[in-house]
Amino acid sequence: MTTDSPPRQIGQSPRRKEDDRLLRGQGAFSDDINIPGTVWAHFVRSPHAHARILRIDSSAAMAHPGALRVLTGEDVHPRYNPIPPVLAVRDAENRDNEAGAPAFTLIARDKAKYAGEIVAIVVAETREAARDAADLVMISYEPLSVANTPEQAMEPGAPEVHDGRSNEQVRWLKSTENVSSTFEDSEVILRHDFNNQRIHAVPMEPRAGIAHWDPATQFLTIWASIQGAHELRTQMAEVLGISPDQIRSVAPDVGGGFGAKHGGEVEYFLLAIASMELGLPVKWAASRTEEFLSLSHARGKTSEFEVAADRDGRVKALRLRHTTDLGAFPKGATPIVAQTSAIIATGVYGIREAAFEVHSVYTNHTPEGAYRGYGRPEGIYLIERAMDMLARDLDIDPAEIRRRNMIQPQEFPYYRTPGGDIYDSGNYPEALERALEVSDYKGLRTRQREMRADGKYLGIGLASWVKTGGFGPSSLDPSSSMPEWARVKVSPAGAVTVYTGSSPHGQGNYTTYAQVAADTLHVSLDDISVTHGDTATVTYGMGTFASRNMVVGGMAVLQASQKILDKMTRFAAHTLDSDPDGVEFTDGVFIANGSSITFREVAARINQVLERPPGMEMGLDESSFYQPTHLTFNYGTYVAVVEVDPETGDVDLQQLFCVDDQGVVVHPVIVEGQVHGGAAQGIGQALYEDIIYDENGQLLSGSLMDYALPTAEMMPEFISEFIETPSPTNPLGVKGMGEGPTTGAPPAVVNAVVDALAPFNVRDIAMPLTPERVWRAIQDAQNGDQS
Amino acid sequence: MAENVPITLTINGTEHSIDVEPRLLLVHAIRDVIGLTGTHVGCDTSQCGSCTVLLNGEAVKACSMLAVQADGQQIETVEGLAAADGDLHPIQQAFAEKHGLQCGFCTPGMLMLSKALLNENPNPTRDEIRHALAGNMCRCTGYQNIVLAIEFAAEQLSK
Repeated sequence: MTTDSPPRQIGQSPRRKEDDRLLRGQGAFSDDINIPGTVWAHFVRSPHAHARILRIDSSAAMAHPGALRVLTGEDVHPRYNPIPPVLAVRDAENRDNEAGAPAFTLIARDKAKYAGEIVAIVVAETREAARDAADLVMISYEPLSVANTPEQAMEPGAPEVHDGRSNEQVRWLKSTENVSSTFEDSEVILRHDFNNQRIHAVPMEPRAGIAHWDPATQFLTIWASIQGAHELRTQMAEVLGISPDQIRSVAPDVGGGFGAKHGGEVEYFLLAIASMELGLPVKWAASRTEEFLSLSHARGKTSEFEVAADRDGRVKALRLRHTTDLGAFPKGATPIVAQTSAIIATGVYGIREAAFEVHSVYTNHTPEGAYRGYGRPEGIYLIERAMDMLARDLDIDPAEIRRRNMIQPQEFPYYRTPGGDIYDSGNYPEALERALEVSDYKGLRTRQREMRADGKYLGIGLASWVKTGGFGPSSLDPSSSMPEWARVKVSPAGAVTVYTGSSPHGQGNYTTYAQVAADTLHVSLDDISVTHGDTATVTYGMGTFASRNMVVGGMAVLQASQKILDKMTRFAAHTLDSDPDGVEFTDGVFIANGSSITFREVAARINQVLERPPGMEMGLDESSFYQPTHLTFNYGTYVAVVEVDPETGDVDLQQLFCVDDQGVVVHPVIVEGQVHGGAAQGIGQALYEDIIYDENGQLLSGSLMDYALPTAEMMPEFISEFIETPSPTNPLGVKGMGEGPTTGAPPAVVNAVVDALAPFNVRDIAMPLTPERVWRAIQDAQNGDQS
Repeated sequence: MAENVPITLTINGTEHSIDVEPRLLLVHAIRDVIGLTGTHVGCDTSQCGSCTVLLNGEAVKACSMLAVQADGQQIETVEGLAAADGDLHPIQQAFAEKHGLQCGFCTPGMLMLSKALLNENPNPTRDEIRHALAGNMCRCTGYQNIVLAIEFAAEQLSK
């Protein structure tokens, strides 16, 4: 059987099928969903970062009109389980060589471990009554000393976040053999401390959920703003001590996640528990302040970084010590993220000797979780900043120093880095040259010189970055392999339904999966619908995270579609009196022996009893798991152009040029939209965003008044281009790409600002580069303090 | 707790007579009492703009008004944008055409803001568009395609 038709949909940018409802305001986000009889939950949260809970008096709360129940740790702990730990964290080594991780408890019992941790749940008839009653819950606390930074938390005698356990969850070391000798033999050593500040994903939709336990059927239905309904079901079953078959879990429309909504939230489990206790549906919607306090934070790494190079700027070795602020609990695999973050610090360069040291430490802060990039941006930030610093020290152009260090195309496929990553394919010099061309780098440097003569400060910043995609490969670690599942069904009328275990929340897969199915089955996009996010209709799933929607989810759709095509081909062969190998499928028509039968005819007739070949069952309904074997590595070079006003420290980010190689691009406009959004988040980290705690572990940046989420005026125009080097790891040739831009943008922007301020001898400024910090850096440099 | 107050809100041309607590925000009246959930709540401090509706033709944040303050007023929400026969409004079409939405949560606010902007300034520059968007936050799109969508809508509306 041959398929001659050229690609019909992949590579095109059709209008998104999911848009119509959303544009009409007919989206069903979790807070939009209402079930008759729903009551409301409000969470009472610890105001202290670290405190013993002495007494909880809920009598006044229960006396409030409409109040139904108050639950505390005393009620929950004996009867329900904490969130099950991820295997890899459970087995990770910690300081005392004691395997295991502290329990991620749903609610505080003897003590609160961060400001914002849930201490009581109030359930009442209305949203307002629950909130009013919550104000009446009387709790006496005994405040304890706070472990406010990882450094404090690692000191001898530091307050233990989890009683009886070291605060250091992970201490990990990995090194190649000749790091020390290479450092000793090198003429140039660069050493610097960097900070990837804690930030927040801030999806526009605050979390919300409804849990409905039906005592009559002993069945739980939960709707929740989450990035994977199936994973929630699995965790829910373990927490509640029931079977997953007693649970239907739904991720309805979800208003952004970016990783923070990956994995079950304590609130969702507590809603289910409240519902089980009351036998009523229980609903909750977070306030934005609650989101800042209790939706996981991200990044939060301080790093000591050293590179050893020769006088031509060729980096021979690096040393890196990463310390991560985990917050009070281990969310998902976050404790080991600092490892993958460290090992990517060799970046796109052929650095062969490297020593990594990682500490993941608990503090009395909000727990950290995943956020677009998942540790890799922090590692790339170090090497890309260091490249620019080295370039300046050695008086080499930043583009040239990158050229000299880059891994060359002929070293692919499957280039193994000292850290253990295996890069699938890449042409880093091509991305660099294209970015320099698109941005007119030479012209920019000329303009920079001219402007300096006029006392104006233009800055040009490069970042050549690499990032993983398509998570869950079997080669990485069998215990963390994650396939994705898809099912494709064709009705007798020829309508195609795709079921996917992916859980898109803005990525457009309702359209892009249809494109994949359309290209295999030669069906119009209008005849394809895509279903996701409900364990009742989608049998298996993992969810959407780690840039895997197209690489892993799309491949599952391709495989399931291919199985459908194979069965239809065998049917056509039988009808056309041919071998399956002799059947051509062109423009939706099966042709053999001078005869033909259309896709629709096969769909209709395959359900007729007498038409089928012996042994073939009726119907067209196939499913497939796709298990990736390797991570993919997307990459690019970004160029940022800024003008800095030295009087005020104000940074005007004028343009960001983004050259990305994401492999084959299925829907160019959607992929470009991902570049814009990811780059915007990266710019937010570079210039604006900061999660700030005071010395008592109190979150100061707890609302959108305090946390500078970028608005339209704070963003430049993005100029985006793609190079498409197909990934050798999958037949679609895709690499996944959502997290590349958050990796490339921060170092490009910071490099640009520091470049602008070279005449002032500014060497580095810690993110976010607020006007105050920029101004101070200029003052300090002028006063002779090198930053 | 204060007594409920009877008010009348005209939303997308339909009158709704409801009894509300004086402290009830307009956005909650629209969403929870009347049941039009297209208008969203994204924050508690009036920065995000997900709750943007038109009040007597002017863009307002429904989280920053009490329902009682809107008594007797004309409100337009996203549900009223499409034509009576169901055809999308040119602004909605423009957002679809230019990929001006990803998750869709900020979108109703963006659409209503756009309508108010283009009523007042039918031919805005990109800078003017970005400035008008200062009160509407989006985390998915980086704003670029929203700006292009509004520009495209302006072109279409002027035909």
